Amino acid sequence: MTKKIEKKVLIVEDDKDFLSILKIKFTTEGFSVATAENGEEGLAAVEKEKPDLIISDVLMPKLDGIEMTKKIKELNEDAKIILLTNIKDADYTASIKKTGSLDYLIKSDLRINDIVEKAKIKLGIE
Amino acid sequence: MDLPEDTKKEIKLGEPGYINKNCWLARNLNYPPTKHCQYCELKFSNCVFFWYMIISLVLVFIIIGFSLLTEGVISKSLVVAIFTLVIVYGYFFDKSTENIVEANFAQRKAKEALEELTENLQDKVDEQTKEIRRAYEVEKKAKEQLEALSNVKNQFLMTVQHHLRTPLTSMMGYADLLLAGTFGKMTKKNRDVVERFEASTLSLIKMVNDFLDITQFQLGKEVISLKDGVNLCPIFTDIFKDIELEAKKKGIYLKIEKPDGDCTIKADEQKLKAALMNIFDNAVKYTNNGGVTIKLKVNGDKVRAEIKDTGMGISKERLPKLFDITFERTEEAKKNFATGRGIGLYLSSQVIRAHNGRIWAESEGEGKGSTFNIELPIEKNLKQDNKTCKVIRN
Repeated sequence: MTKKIEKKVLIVEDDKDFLSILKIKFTTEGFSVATAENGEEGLAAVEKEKPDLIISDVLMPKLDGIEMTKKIKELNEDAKIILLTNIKDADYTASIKKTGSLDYLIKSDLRINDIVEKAKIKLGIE
Repeated sequence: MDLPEDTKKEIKLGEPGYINKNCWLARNLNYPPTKHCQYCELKFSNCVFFWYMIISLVLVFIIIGFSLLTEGVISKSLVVAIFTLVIVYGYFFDKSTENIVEANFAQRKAKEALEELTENLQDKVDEQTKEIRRAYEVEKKAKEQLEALSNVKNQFLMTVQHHLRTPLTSMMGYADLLLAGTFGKMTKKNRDVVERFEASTLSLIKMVNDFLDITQFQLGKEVISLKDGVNLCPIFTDIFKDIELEAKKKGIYLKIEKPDGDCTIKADEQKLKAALMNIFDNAVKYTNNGGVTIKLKVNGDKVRAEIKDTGMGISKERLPKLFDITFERTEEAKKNFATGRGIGLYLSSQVIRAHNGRIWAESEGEGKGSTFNIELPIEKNLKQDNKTCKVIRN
């Protein structure tokens, strides 16, 4: 039985398959998980769920990950956010970096375990 | 500046009113009359006489006035003298005036010619300005169209990246979950199938990444993101581990000569590793007999890798095109060796060049093996730090 981790992760992802994968993985690892399918829902979930970490896709309908991050940072500068994207473009990644001191990961370069490890580091979990 | 053409035609050399280049210049620069005489080929004496005449007449009147004041009458001899003086002066005055009138005529002609020239010049300047403006507008429009096209390309590229990679990422994710036993324990057969599925997905992701990188390189976009202090040692160690396994499977030898210690480099670790892996892996892949010898040397501020194989070699004709995007594998290579897409060398060379490195190949010809050389600038040689990098040696 996996040890429960007293941390809540909000996963914001419009691709239902990848959202499901991340939800299963983080739940299996013992995290408490909340989900949202676009930036607007993500923003509402941040208010409602008060997550310790937000893992979000970038390209999403209604409100994209970059705009959502900016709004979250306006409300809480210390919010921990990891952005996931599949776009490896220098200009594009530069625009992500401009949103503040946050991590962004290229999805297809990583395995699910790498994302969990990154989340643990961000939350200071051994 | 040349004398206007029509002025030259109308007033020829030796004819009255002829003005030479200097004269034309003298008039337009408003030289004083004595200089006009000098430059416009009037007799200087005429000019001087004109002034003498005026001064003499003034003198005559002064003398008459003085004579009237002192004696009350004008003496007869004085009248004769003045009369003679007036006749002589009159002659020269006429000559001088004639010359001056001629000169004035020439001056007017020159002035008209100059005005016409200026007008023509202005027309030409206006016309050329219009043409430059037109060319600028055309260029501006073309630039805008190119930018729009480039934006469309970029947008397309981003969409392709997103839509191609998203399902692949999910495929990998499900495979990871299955292999981690998240959905329960799998039979060995099921595990084998999922592992094959995972390997194929990884290969597909690599292919998509390679093609997207090529497109980015072709578009001149920045593909490499260099970071300071990347240690080359673990990169080489990982590569050597992989190719050693491959060499053992094929039954060929693999010799590695490497100095102790390691060094750091400014690099995009992931990209550089993939580029180097491709070159080292090719040496093993295209060698069925004999083997591969790898020599690593740190020379000043450069690290150099020499990869020598006894494999299929490269013909002299194909050697210069080896790192071109248009390079294609030979029919023999396609038939006898593992599958390849023929873009690996192009991509590797682009990545190495983006690291300010060099790559070149040598071969005596087909069937005679080949040597690939890679040179990369290093930041710091950590040899003195006594860090020893473990390398597999045969």
